[in-house]
Amino acid sequence: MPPLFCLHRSIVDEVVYGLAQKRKSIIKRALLLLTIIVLFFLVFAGRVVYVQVGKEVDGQNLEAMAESRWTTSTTLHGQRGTIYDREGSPLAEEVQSYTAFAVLNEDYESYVENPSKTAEELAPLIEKDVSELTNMFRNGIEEGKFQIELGSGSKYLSLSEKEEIDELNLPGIYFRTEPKRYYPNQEFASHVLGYTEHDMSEAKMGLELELDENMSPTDGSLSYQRNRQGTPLWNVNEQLEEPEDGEDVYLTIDSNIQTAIEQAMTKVEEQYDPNKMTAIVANAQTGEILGMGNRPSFNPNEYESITNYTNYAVSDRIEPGSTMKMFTLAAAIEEGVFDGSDTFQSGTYNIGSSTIGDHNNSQGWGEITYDEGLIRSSNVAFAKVALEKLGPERFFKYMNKFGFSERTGIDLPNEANSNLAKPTDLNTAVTGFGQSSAVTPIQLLQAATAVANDGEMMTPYIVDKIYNSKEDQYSYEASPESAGNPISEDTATRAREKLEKVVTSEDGTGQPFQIDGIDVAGKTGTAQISDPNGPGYLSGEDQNIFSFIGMAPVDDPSIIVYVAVDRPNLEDTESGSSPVSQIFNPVMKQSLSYLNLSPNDVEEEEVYEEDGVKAESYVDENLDEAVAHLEDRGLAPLTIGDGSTITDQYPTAGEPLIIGEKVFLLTDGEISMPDMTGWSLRDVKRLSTLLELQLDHLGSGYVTDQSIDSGASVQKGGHLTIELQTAAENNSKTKQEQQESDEQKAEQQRE
Amino acid sequence: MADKKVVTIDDRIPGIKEKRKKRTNRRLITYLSIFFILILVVVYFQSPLSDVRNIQVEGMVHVDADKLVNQSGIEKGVNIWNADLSGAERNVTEMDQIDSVSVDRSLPSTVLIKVNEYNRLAYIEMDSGYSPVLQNGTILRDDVEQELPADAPILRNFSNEDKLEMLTEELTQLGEGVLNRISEIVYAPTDEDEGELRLYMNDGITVSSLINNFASHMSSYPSVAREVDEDADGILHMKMSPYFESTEEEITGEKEENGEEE
Repeated sequence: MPPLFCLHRSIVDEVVYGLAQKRKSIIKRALLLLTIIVLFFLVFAGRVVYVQVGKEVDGQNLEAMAESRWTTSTTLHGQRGTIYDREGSPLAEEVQSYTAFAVLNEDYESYVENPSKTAEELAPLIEKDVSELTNMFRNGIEEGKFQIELGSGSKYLSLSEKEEIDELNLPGIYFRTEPKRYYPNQEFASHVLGYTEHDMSEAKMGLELELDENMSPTDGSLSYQRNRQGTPLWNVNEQLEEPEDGEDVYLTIDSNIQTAIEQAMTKVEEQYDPNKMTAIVANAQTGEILGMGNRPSFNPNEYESITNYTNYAVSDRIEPGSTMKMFTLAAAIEEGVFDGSDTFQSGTYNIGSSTIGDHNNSQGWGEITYDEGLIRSSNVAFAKVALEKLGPERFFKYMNKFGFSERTGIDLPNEANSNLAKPTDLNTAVTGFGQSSAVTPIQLLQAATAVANDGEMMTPYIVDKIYNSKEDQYSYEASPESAGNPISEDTATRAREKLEKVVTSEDGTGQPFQIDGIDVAGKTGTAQISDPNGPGYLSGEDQNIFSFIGMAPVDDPSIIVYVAVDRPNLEDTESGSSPVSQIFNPVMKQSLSYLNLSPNDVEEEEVYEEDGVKAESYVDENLDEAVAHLEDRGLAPLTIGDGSTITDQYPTAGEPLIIGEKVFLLTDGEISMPDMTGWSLRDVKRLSTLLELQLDHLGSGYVTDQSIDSGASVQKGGHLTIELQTAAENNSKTKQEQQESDEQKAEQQRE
Repeated sequence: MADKKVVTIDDRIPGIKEKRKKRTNRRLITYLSIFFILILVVVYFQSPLSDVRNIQVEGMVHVDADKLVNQSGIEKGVNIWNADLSGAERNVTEMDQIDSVSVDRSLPSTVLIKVNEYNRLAYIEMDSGYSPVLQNGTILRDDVEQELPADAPILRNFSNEDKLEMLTEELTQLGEGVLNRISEIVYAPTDEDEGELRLYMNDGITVSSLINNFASHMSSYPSVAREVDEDADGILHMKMSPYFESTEEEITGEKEENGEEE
């Protein structure tokens, strides 16, 4: 059936053709659509790819923008190091402070509603004028400010000041907290400590400046990511950089001594109004500076009012005057050229065309011994000793040995250097009694340690140790350092003996420095001051620097005190040493009493308290060590057994004990019974508990009889019987016995 | 041919089959382990494994351990998770001598009772023995020690209950260091003062004091006692102002005037 087939085919073809046509157009349309979609897609995809790769839209870095949206970074503040005194009380520390500000915006929950009333109440507390403050509020409100600052008086308030303002319940007054540097003792060793800006951004003076690098903290930071609500997503890429606190500085300053200095100086400043003053207290054996004060001084918490930036003790150079004679004397003794009983003509002394006169208007005291010359502080005597006995070369050699030619190297900033005169004859004679050459007070103090410390001169220091809290160790620890031995021990002792007479002798210039119960050796000084406006010296009774350098106790000095008062206003009848002694005497007294109380004594004190000290465990320890330790603490160790290692003890560790309490130490050797006569019942019971003995006791009071004789060996678990009697019973018994024996004697005699 | 054409999807994609198998296995293991763990839990709770087998007591000095366990109400053989620990704490605290107590499980099978007893201030001498006075002032009249313990002084002659109570009140305030020094306290009323006490101290000093303000009178004992010559016979009066009354003259018969020392 080909035709059919044909037809069939043609129909099919028709249909197929039509279908094909349709299909084609569909495909065409589809392709078109596809192209459009692809194009569309490409454009957007391209944009996406472009953004992905370029990470920039409108010139903005998307990544950075996004990150800043979900990451927050906080600065973690590190603390500046604290400065402590020798006992660990803070002298300079970082504390929280409060700064007040006022919110003016009415939409805020509370705001300044009544400017004039708020100003009236607030002004006195922040050192501001009421009208000025009212104007500040009004202007702020007019300008539509949200909040305003309230001036310098409202900054860095202490907690108590903040609470005072809080109590007013003023609407719209808020506080923000900021760390600030705080000096809890106010005006206290101010030139030593120095100060920093309140916000600690910059250290300005003293040790704060010198040790700024050590004490400065390193701020850390914490960055973390947040979700849409702003809640922190912890642990997701959290980056913590720990802040590092600054190092803590421990000084050798003793607060009790420093307080004594500050009080005495304040008193003298009020009474005499001197140009300047300085005082130094040092440990004579180590060179540790225990206290250092200056006037005029300042309160480092209010450094705006500072007038004097100089730490006179180390940065001021003065002609020391007669205090220098101490060292001329020591040098002459060391060289064997000082004969105290030798005499000389006092009054005046001619060197070339110059004349040296004694301080009583060159009258002198006739022909006197050199010893008396020292006591009366004769210039002629020491000019002669320096020039004739020692000679310029030897004299200046000793000046060098005593450290007067270079800085002491004390760890305080801006130490001044001395200015020794050229070694001519005149200068030798004049320097011999302390004029023409200028030295610093700290140099004088260092030289005096040689006299005080048996010839060994100690370098003064004030920084004891520096503690790094991060590494939990001391990054610096000072130790006493010798600065040479200018004189021998013998010389030092002899010099001190002679210098003691300056204070104790009737004619001594150092009489005002006598302190009851303390043997002081020292040398006064009345130094003329070079006229700043020309050659020569200032004239007038109070146009001098009055000073004293003293040490005590004479036998073995532990403290050296140097005090200098510059141009005090003296009453007509008053001598220049009177303001000096008003500082020296109380300070020396305080210093000695506080130094005698070393930390070791504290525990000893505890055993005198009613709560006593806690017993320690000595089990397994060496007997001798335990006995020594117990005796040190004022307890009475009692050894049972002849071994050397302790196996048990009673009272047990932790029991509170007072002075003289028996502590039984059981050792590992053979045990023998001690003599318990006079023991109390409780002590016997303690012993029998320790030895595991069954105790039977009769009576009350103290042991008179024991069933196991002293020296007999003891078996654990055995029986012990004791008899006790009170003192009264004991007495009557002995009396009775005495009577009986008397009677017996009498009877015998009768027979 | 037809058979060949019907090919399961599993065969065509072998990976899926593997995956399915694995998943079924894993599920089975999970169910099985849950099942066994549950069985183990049941076994643990039903068997003696969860019973209290030990009751340990720590920190007691005077109180008998068995007595404490009895008082606590916890018994061996009780399920450790059923034991009423807080109830036990309450029960034990009811005992006069106990200051504080903590009862804890120490797995697998121990209950740990840690007690903190009141320190003893003194022992009162009675006919039947020595009854302790606790830190809080309580006198344990029923809990008499037959043998004298060494950890506190003895009180003798206290027939007067009021005085005894006053003294125990004072003893609670006295420093423990001084308390440790006292050996005996004898009540010795005189015509002058009803509260007169005679104390025998460990260091051999006989002290006379009063019940009124006993604690404050005795607080300075350590510093006063060291001033007293150990060999001197006499009585140290620790009253308003302490002084030493020497009795040496009585023995030697000499009339010395140096009777008093401060």
